[in-house]
Amino acid sequence: MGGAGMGPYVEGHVLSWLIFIPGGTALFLLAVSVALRIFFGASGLPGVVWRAIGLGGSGLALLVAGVGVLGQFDPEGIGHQMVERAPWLPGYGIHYFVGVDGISLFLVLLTALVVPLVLLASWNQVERDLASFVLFVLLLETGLLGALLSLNLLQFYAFAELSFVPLWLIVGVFGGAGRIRASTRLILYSAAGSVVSLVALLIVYQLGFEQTGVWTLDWIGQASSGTPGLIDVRIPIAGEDVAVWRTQPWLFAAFALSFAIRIPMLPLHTWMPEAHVEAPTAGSVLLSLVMLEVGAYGMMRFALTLFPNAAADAVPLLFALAVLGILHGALVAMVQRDLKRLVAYACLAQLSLAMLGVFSLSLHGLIGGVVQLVSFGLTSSALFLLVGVIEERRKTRDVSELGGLAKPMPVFAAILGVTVMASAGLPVLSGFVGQLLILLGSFAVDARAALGAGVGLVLLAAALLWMFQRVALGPVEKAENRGLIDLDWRERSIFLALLVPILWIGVHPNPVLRRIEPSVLELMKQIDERRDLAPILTLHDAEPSDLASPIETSDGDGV
Amino acid sequence: MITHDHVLALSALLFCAGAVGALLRRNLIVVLMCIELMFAAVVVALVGFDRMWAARAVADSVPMEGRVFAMIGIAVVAAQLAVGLAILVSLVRNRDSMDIEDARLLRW
Amino acid sequence: MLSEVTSSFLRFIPALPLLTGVLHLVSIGLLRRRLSARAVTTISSAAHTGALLLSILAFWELIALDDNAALVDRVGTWIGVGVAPSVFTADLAFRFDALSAIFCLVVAGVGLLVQVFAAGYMEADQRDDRGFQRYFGYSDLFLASMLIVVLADNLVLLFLGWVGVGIFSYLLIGFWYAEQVSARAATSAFVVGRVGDLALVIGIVLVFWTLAAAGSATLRLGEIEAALQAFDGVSFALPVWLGGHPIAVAVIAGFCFLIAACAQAAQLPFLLWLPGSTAAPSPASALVHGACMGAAGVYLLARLSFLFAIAPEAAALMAWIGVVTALLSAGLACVETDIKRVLAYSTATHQGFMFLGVGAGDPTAAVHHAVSHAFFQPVLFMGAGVVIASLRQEHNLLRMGNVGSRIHLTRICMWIALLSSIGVPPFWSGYFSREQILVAAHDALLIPLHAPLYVLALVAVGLLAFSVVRLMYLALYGETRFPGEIRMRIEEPEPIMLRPMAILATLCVLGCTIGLPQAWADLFPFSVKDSDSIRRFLAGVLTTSAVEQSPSSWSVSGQVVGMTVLGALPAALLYVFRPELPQKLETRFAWLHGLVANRFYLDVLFERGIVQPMLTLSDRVLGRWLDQRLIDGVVVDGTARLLQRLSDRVLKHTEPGTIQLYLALMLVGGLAMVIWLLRAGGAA
Repeated sequence: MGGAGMGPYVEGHVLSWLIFIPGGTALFLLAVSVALRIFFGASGLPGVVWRAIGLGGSGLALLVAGVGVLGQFDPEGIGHQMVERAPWLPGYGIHYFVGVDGISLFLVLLTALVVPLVLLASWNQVERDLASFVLFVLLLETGLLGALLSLNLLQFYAFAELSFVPLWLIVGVFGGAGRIRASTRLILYSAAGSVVSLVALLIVYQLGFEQTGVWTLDWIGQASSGTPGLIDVRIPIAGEDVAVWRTQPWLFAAFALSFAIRIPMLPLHTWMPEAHVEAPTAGSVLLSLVMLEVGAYGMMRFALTLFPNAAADAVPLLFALAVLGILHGALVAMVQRDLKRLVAYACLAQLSLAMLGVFSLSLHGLIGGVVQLVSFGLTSSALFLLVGVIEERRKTRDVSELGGLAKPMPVFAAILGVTVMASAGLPVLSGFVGQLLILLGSFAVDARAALGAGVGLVLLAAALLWMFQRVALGPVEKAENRGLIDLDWRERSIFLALLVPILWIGVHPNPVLRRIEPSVLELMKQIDERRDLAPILTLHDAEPSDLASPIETSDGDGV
Repeated sequence: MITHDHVLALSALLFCAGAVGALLRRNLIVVLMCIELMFAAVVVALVGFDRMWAARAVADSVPMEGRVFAMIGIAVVAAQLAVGLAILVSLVRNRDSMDIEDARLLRW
Repeated sequence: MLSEVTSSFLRFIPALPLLTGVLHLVSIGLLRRRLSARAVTTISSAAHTGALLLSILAFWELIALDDNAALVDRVGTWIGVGVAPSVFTADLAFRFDALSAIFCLVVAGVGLLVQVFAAGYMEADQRDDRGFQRYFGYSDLFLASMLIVVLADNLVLLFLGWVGVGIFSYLLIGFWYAEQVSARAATSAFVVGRVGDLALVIGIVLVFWTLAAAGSATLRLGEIEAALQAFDGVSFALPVWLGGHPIAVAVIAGFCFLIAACAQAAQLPFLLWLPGSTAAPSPASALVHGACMGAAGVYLLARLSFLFAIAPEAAALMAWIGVVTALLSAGLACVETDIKRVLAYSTATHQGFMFLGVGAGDPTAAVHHAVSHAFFQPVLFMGAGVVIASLRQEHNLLRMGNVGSRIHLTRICMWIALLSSIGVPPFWSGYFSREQILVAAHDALLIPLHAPLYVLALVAVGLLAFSVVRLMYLALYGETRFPGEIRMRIEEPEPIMLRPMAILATLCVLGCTIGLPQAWADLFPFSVKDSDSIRRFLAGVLTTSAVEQSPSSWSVSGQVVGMTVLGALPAALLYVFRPELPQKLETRFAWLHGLVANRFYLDVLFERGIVQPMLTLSDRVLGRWLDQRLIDGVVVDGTARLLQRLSDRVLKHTEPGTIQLYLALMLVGGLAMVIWLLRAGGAA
């Protein structure tokens, strides 16, 4: 079935429309605003107009994602679908290259769903500079969608950076008291990582040329030919001596570092709790979204597939870090009094769980990891929005100021309870499928890690439930809590929009699993194929004619 | 008779005098004057070269005409002088001093 | 392997209460509309009755089939992932074989009766006028989860129901959420349950991978049993610091399932959540403790009896845990003063016996006991609920007394249930099932040291008798220890509450017909054939590994009865004839009394020894030191500070700002360049 009456041009370019609608809306509004300022001397468009049209734009993107992309997605299709490729700098092999597969499909839907909800949720929270806020959010959405759908390495990098800048501005402008420090650390920390990965990207670029004679950053070639970056470089030194530089571990480390900072993984995580605490509610939600998409997706899509040998070698370390992340996140979450810090550490635990699945490099683990990422996106957005509700009403996030909220706000308490249970991974809710598959997949690789992860999950459940008890259950002790107003219809519809997918994935996960599976199989196939090619290239020795068959294949390198 | 070497020697002398003065004098205006002296040395050298290669220019039709270069040089000098004096005037106005030690804006 | 017959209606057995439960919760949650009490009870009762009728129908169909058959109803694929050989499929499929039949009937039947009781009880309870529909929503879903557990065709669906039981018991325990006690009890119960859930998941994962390695990756219950030889010879090596020798995977899996069942049934070491769970409304306690939570644990163990047959270490541990828990909780019940807690401990004691039964190799006896338990325990809880409500929410036994004469019908029901609980032959089913367990313990093959097991079990029998009789006398007899004017207003509960109690009490007596051992049956003047029907019924499904059933060992029976009397009589003596004696004994043995009354300080130990240190560790070490000081302070901020200092101390001196220095540098540099050019140009 096609996209419900969309014309052939639109259908053929659904992904581009999807990516650029939010950003385009923002820029259009900006242009109108500036024009008004210049020609009519007005002070630009009023904030409410921005908000309304911004909501419309992101809502339209959601529509396109749901109907156009999901509707046209072929569940059994192998490889990427709805691919668009347009030359950008063809001499350098840089194209505008987008496509969607089972893994990115659901993350795209998640993004398209959450951004309008964020705008809706900020209805009363952002008073001044509403125009800037909407602008930042929409640009962020474009960046995220572009990153998810990019098949060209440089394009992914560009969109990822594009998504980080508005995030920095949102935290820095609209945040709390310590926002400058938090936002500066946010941007510098992740920029440090991305600079390293940029260098690695350029090296991959160069090595790819040396290997195949073609300049390209389209990381998916046909099958596995033309894929760069797997080579060890032999550098002749003054005659006989030859130094072998193993490029793979270094390049993998560079890429993994930048993604690990963004996810974040232990021990590179310390920027995150602070950023969440200082960010406005919308900022926290978007931050967790950005983290998971740029970081976790990038790790899965690029770092693992481009450097499979190094990745396989690094699995013990990565496993350990993931398990420690779960444990650390759960334990520290337990002792937090600030609700947002608590949720932030719980996010750390859940993301580390997803990465555990990803690093297991097994079918079950990878599928579980993808589902867990989607579930995490939904539940953490809901949690941060719920904390935002409390913050809005009580102007505090301290647990000791709350308690017994189920009495004045029963609907809120019920939604909080369901969300907590979903985060803890109870069946019937979305967290379970991912958790089960991850434990299944990682157990086959390292039983102790799976056990450790399980213990961490129990601790996480304890931390979240204890939080729920302290916030919602028990008697109402503080007088200020007695007269709190429950959620209004706007807030309820936001949470409903999040809870329905959570329930859906929990109760009927098979449609989702069915669509993810072929893409994961394809990913694993690519990893396996590339694992076998690890050629050694001799630099500075190759004559132009040698490029035809210069590559000596080495074997037994770390397979 | 005055040979090419003399002209070049004069140019070098003037240049060194200007360089030494620019490096060692404390007064801003004097420094500027010494820089002008260095420029003057360059112009003299160019004129000398023009005379030196004049015969060759006609024979090989190679346009080694120092006089043109010298003209361009004088124009550049004039422009530089204007800018330099403007900066000087504004500096002096702000600091009420013509001491070069007081012009430390480029310091960390 | 049982032959499977397709059925199409099994799915409705759990679906009916599921639907009504969701309906109730959605209507008060989303739609904000409360139905009238009558409507609520009608809807829920209809659903439960429907479930019961369908169960009976399924049972009818089942016994019409061959001996080794099962009804299977497959709705569809719930989770299906993977490629051969490790295809992970969890279908939404239900299975009705002999074991599920028994549990299903019991759960549905007892559930219905308790639900009817609850209709009367909750309406009379004035504490929370908004809670009526909410209660029914939770308990309907609780029952639906339990039905899913016993009807699940594969382990993953079983896990779904298992966690559902945990969630809804959490909600029921914390039903009056505005009270701190309830809230805390609910959270701790749930967290303990989560540990059990983890163990269950690990067990499932282990089973899956072991079977996948042998080529038959499945989690369907019947197929696991058929593929059991996949477990032969597969073992894990313990880490070096634990000894390094191998443990069979079957044993590890057995441990995992055991831990899960222990958490659910409040066996050691998970006994601690039990006292708090009595914060639930009484009908919920009746349901939870009587028919469901422990039963789920026993069901799991019985269902996997084939696994425990090849994992004797796990079975031995199970038996020991059962006995020790039984002993411990019976002891605790003897000095406990909260009426519902005494009953909760007695539940744990009975479940300890059930665990003993499965561990000793006779799961049929355990199942039989679970059935008997489901008959008598809810009656006791319901009666306790009546007493509590009559005395205006008084829970403390020491402030009760002499109520029985006002509610003698209730009292009669409670006596019948009590006799079944403590086990008085020959008419009460509770006796026979327990006798068989003790016979199995006496003759246990799997367990090397089974003599102490038997002795301890006997002691537990005695203590149990003491505690329950004590409860009866303190609550219903003796002098009035509460304000007199309340007594005048106590009256018999309404029929809606009385009838379920009466029905269950009758079942306590009649229930003996399903499990009468042949030796007893021979005592009757008329011939009773097919007396031990439950054993034959379950023969195809459960794996029994005890010594073949000696028809009845009279010595064992004698000892059991003897212990019961030995326990009951002193209680009667103490509390009826010499009521001042307990007080004196308490003061004389104050240290012992204190120790037991404070639950051996186990919960304090747990709190101080495990929870507090963990929290302090998380706060000081992980939160502050690691995150803030080390990573943030040293590495991140440290890097920034390092760069700052570098610039400040070193780099800034390259910018002195002296114009003449710059000029000099320019001249020198220019000169150098000129010289270099001349030389290079000259050379070329």
